[in-house]
This record gives sequence, structure tokens and C-alpha cells, in this order.
Amino acid sequence: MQRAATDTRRLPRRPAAWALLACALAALLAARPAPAQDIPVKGRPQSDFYGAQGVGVKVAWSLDRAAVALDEDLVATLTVTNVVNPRAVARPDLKAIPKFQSQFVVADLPDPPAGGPREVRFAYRLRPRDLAVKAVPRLDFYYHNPSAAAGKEFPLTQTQRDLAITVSPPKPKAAPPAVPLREPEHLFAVARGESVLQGPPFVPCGWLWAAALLAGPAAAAAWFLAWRRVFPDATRLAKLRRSRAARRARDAIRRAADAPDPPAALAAAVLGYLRSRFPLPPGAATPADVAAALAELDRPADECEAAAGFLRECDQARFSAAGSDDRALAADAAALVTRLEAA
Amino acid sequence: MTLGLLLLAAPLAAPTAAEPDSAVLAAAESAFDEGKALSGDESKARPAFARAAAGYDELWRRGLRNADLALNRAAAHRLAGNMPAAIAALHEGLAAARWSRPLQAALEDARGAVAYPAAGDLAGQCRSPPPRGLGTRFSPADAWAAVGALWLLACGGLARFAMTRAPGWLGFAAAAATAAALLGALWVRDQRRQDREDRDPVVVVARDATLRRGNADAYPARLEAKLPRGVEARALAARGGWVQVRLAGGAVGWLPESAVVRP
Repeated sequence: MQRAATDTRRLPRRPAAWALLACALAALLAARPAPAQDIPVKGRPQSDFYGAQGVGVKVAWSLDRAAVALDEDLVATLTVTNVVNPRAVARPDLKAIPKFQSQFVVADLPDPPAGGPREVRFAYRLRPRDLAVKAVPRLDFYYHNPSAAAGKEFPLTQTQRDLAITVSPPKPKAAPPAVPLREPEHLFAVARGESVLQGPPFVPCGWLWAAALLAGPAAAAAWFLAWRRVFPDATRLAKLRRSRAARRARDAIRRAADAPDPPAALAAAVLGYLRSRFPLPPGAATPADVAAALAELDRPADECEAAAGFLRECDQARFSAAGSDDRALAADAAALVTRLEAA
Repeated sequence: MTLGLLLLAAPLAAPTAAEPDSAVLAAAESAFDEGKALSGDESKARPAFARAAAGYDELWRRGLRNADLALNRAAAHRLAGNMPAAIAALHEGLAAARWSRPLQAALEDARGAVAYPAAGDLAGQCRSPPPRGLGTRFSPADAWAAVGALWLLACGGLARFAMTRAPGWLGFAAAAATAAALLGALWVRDQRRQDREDRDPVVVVARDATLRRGNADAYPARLEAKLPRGVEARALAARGGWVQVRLAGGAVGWLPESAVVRP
């Protein structure tokens, strides 16, 4: 009894205080979100439903500005109010909604803080795709109303009508600072004019190589024939030069001028030639012996006499007191060899 | 009747006459001059040089394949910032005039600008050797003239020997014939070697790319580092959008066809 009296003393005694306390309690209860319930699958919309639950749920767009350049972004915030499950509300994917995707390049931004316990906000960065964009489209938003009649648990709410915006052409950007072209100087000098318009370089084909191969022998043969035609005696001389005996005799005749006794050397040269060309007996050394030997070999008489005469001239030159003309004697020797070789 | 109409319409349907070569050249030179004038600003100069390169390329496609045009193409591509195309143009020029010293020097200069790796297994694989062989020094016309002249001298020496019977002429003829035969043999050998090399055409890496062991991204890399842009290789085969290449160092692998430029 005493304890009850003590408790009674602690309560407010005035009626006004009681009323104030009741109001505060009611306000506290009203502000506290109603407990969320499970959202039934039956009747749930296939699209534009983001898991929101509540009574009288509202959605609204707010923009950070109403005018935007074509190459700039605007920030659009979607505010959902009167939801009992704010943490369960999914972010609407504007990229998947054609009317947004066709007009804006959409990027998600971090969620801004909610304005109350029954509110949730989603932020987006929107960049207009062209100058024809005039507004942020209306967003359809289904939610679950647990207290609604059967069949009407998923009412539709929408943002305000298309939110008008003004899209202006992109602002001209400041030109970046010019960077000079750094390349080797010789690259800047190029060939000009007709030399650039020439065709491929000349490359000899197969028949040109064959022509070059044949041209050498043909030119050499032509030269040789022309030489023979111009110098007919030279041909005969060339034949003579083919005779080794004659060549040796000529060499000996040439060297005779330097010999101590040129007439003897010339006589020896001619005699050596005769022995090489004709089978003279070993003892045939005098002019008469040589003439007789040649005659026995059926050589013409004038040849025999010429050979003997030359040998006699040499003897006379060797033993005469008046001396001799060695050059004339050498010429006679060469002529005799030529005559005998040509016969 | 129908045939007659078709015959009448044929000239109208035919493509219009191509722009004259001189006009294409003038446009290319004008674009090149514009690029030179704008060389103080790289971003403006390079597009102009790219236009000049396109003009030179068109002349090359028309068959005007001379060393001067190849050098112009390479310079324009390089100034346009397209080093792989410049190297490819130089290879095309060398295919037409392998003996051209300016082309050889330009190729070496371009290779000097490629970012070859300084160390690692890739360093020994990437660098292409300089052009070598008799064909890089003599043009076919020079070789033909030299061999022909030596052969003519040999035959002349023989003729002179027949006239004079002097053994010296025979030695002269033999020496000239030997020189002609030696030069001809070296030339033929060089041509055969070049023909063997030309069977595998040159490709140039257009962007940094990984050389793989097979013709798909799933295959492991043949070399650890990526092949730098501008590296030359020989194409061996192609399959499924990939091309098999052999590097200068002998490594064989596969590259995407989009990563190479074919001259």
C-alpha cells in the first residue's frame, strides 16, 4: 500500500501533462516505420517493380539543373517516399529502360542520403545523346501495398510528367597547346616531278642475256673477217707465224743484230730453219751443199739458188774487208724465210 | 534488242576515267607541303602527311614503282605517324629496286626509330639484318652490261689471238672470260637466294602484339615480351585470321592478322 502510494506520487498529477505525453507517444509511433511484410509473388508486375512496399508511395525526379550542354552531364535524383522497406528497394536500371537509354548516356552515381526513415534516393548521371532531347522521361514505379484490397496490392505510381530540360550545343573546347612535329629533317625533303612518275627500273629479260652471250662471238668473228678482208697478206703472215720453225728463225734473225758476228748469226738462223723444215744432210753447211740438198728434195730451182745465194752473201759479209750492211742482210734473211714458208 | 541496250549502256556503267597520274602527284605534293607548313603543330600536320601518303600509295598501285616514289611514300607515312606502313613501303621499294642505296639507308634509318628491346630473348629475335648480296650493289642492268662487256672483251681477245698468235691475247681473253663467268655466277646465286627469301613475304608488326605458339589467344606466348610496333618478320602461313611469322632470329609464332601490315 505504501509502495503503490509512492508510485502514484511519481506520475504527473496535472491533466495537461498527461495529454502532452500521449501526443508525444502517438507521434513516435507514427514516425516509426510499419514492419515490412513479405511481398507476394502472385500479381507482382513483371517490370517496373523494384521491391518497394508501403501505402501511398510516391516517386519524384529532381535535377541539379535544367539546362545542359550536349557534352555535359546532369545529375538526376529519384526520390521514393512512404516506403516501409527502404533498404529493400532496388535501384531502377535506367540503362535497361529504352526511353532513357535512347536519349541519355546513363551512369549510376552513389546513393545520396535519404531525407527520412521512409525515404530512399537514387542518383544518376545523364548525358543527352543529341540536341533533340527535351525532357527527362516519366518513370513508372509499381509498389506493394499490403493493406490494399485483393488484386490491387501492386498499384502504379509515376514521377511527375516529363521533366523539361534544355540541351544546348557543346561548348567549344579550348585548343590544346600545339606540339611541334619532331621527325628527322631529311624526311621533309622528297623527290618531285617526273622522276616520281617513272615506271619500274629496267631489268634485262632472258633474251637480252642470250643476246649478250651471242654478241661477243659475233662481234669477234666480224672483226676477224674484216681484218682478213682489209689485210689479206696479214693472213698469210699469220699462217707463217703458225710455223714454229719460222717463228724461231725470225726470233734468231731479230737477235742477230746484237750478236758479235751478225752475218754468221743470220746464216745460222737461216740454216737452222732449213734444217728444221727440210731433211738436209748433217754435213750440208756450205751454199753449194745446201743448194744441192734442196734440189734433191725437189724444191724449185729458184728457191735453191736463193738459199745458196743468201748463204754466200753472209760469207762475203763475214770475210770481206769492206764490211757489210747487217740490216739489209737481216731483211734478206727474213724475206727468204717468208718465201720458203709460203711455198 | 536487249543485247543492244546492254551494249549501249555498258559505256555508261563503266567507271569514269581515273584521275591522271600527274594530278594525283600534284595533290600528294600539295598535301605534303601543307604538312610541312603545319609542322609546328603535330595534330594538324600528321593528317596532311597522311593525305600525301594516300596519294603516293595510289600512284604506287598504278604501277609507278620506282625508288623515288617509294622513298616519298615512306617519308609521308612516317611523318603521318605510321611507322609500320613506312617500313612496308620501303620493303616494296626494295622489291622493285633492291640495289637502291637511298632506299637501303632509309630502311636502316626507319629501323633505328623502332623501339627494339635492348635486352631479353626478344632483343636477339627482332632486329633484321641489313640487305646483303650482289643484288644490293648492282642493278640487273649494271650486271648485264658488266657481264656483256667482259664477255665481249674475252671474245675480242680470242679474235686478236687468232690474228697475231701472241699468247698474251689468249691470257687476256681467259681473264676476261673468267671475270664474266665469276660475275655471272655470283649474280645467279644472289638471285636464287633472293627468290628463296621472297617466297616468304615480309610483314610488319602494326601494333605491339604477343607472339603466340598457336593461332588463338588461348595459346601461350612464344616470347615473354610483346613484339614492338615496326618489327619485321616473314609470313609463313595464314589461318583463321592469324598469320604465322618467322622473326629475324628464327623464332616462329603466330600473330593476329590485324596486328601486321603486309607490303
